[in-house]
Amino acid sequence: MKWKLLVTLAVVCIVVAYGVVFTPGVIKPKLLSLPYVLWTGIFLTGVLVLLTYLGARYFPHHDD
Amino acid sequence: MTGWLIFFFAIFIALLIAASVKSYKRNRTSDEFMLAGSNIGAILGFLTFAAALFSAFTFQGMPDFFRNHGVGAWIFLAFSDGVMVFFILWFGYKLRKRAKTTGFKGVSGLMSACFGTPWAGYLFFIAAFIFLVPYVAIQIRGISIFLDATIPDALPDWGWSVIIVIIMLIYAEIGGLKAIVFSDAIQALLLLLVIWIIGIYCLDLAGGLTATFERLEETNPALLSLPGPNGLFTIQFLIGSTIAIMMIPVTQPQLTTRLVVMQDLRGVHRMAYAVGIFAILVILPTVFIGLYGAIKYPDAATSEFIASALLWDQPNPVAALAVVGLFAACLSTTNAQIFALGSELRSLLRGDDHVVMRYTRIGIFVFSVVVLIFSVYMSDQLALLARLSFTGTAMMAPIVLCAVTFERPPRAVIFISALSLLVIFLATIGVLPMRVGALNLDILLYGFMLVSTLAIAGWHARRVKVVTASNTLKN
Repeated sequence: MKWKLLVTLAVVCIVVAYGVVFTPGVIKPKLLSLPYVLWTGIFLTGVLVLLTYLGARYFPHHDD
Repeated sequence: MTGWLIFFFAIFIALLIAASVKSYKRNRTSDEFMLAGSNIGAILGFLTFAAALFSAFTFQGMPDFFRNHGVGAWIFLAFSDGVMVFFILWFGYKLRKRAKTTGFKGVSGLMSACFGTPWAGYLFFIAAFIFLVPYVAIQIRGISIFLDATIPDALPDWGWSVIIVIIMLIYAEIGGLKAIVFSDAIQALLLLLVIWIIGIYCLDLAGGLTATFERLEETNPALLSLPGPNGLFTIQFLIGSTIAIMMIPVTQPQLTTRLVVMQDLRGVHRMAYAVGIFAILVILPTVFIGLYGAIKYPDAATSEFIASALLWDQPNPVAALAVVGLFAACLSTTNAQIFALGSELRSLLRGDDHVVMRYTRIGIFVFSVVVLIFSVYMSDQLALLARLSFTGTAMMAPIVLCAVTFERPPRAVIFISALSLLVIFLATIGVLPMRVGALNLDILLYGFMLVSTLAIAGWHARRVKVVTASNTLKN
């Protein structure tokens, strides 16, 4: 159940990233002087790595 | 700088010799030589995977990409790597399960065994050969540019390439995959250290983070948003890159093999998120180097920018460390890729172990020569050539994914992969266009592969269900 939730979250993260967040021509809002695409890109990459960490913990199968 | 260069090279060579001695074993079997006894732990597995993934292309190609095309390069590589490491969780499990039941000598051999026809293996091998050659050549080209700038007129361009290939062949011959894994570990740590030192120094030279972005907003604001000043990073291009990079562990044999030779699935999963963290850490300083280049060397050629930013603008010890770090990165990644092509060839051969190994060694030598020739004539567009390699091998995704998903995978997917490979190859050599209407060819091919593979897989799953039910009734 937790694994399926994590897969769903990862898919949502990718769809939201390309569908909504990564918008052409946008520089602001900035964060710590980083332009919009860079800080959102770093944030979403961090989210995916966190989901990978959680996915590794809750993966439902093991080596036979 | 020469003194520092000799000092760091001596340490690096000593570490390589130590790794060779540790890996060398008399009378080893071909599996011990080619697959490191399939006993790689999580930490070593993470370092070797990271080193095979991040190489001269990251060190040189990414700063140049940031300099020319702006911050969208983060999405191109780092965000895509994030998607890739999540995908490894599932794919690593399925691949290892399949490799355990079928046996594993290489991905090509695995494909032949799963589909029950050697043609699946031949197709995978051809794709790996065609599209890995430019990727391997990138590494050699990159370090040749750098060494030529460090010691100008000492050797012709190709002279450096020949030296690298000879060292690589000797090293691989002595230690096999285990030695390559050890050298990967040294390279990954060295790469991370060197790139951060250079990144921080470049950021400092540019006046700090805030000043860098303020300056770029005044001079070239297109670098700070999508699609970048040259219009490269369109959403379509980035989605295509994400799919190609997500498929790297599926279709690039040097990485697929690393998922199989690890000790256990837990190690593979730990490796996955460690590689994700490594990706963020190693790509972040390339942003600083690239944007520094955009301020100071906006119109310079790639080789001039790389030599200046990584070498001439750095203090002597850092410049010397950069040369050794880049040399190490090139050596281990090239080794991993050439060795993987050897493994693929071996997995397709049948017969006596000694004879198979002799042909494999000849194959590794031939691949090295082909790569050497290619590296002399290729362009300096390192990052774009890497993407081309990822896209080309991604055409093999339908056969590999069906092979690990189905007990008896549908043979029809072999035609889907073969057709897609032929189309992307013809487009690469200029016979077919890279765009069809408003769509990039790679996006079109991914769509075609996805729809046709799902249709065939659905039909196949239903057929298997009907046959199983009818067999149960008969019994």
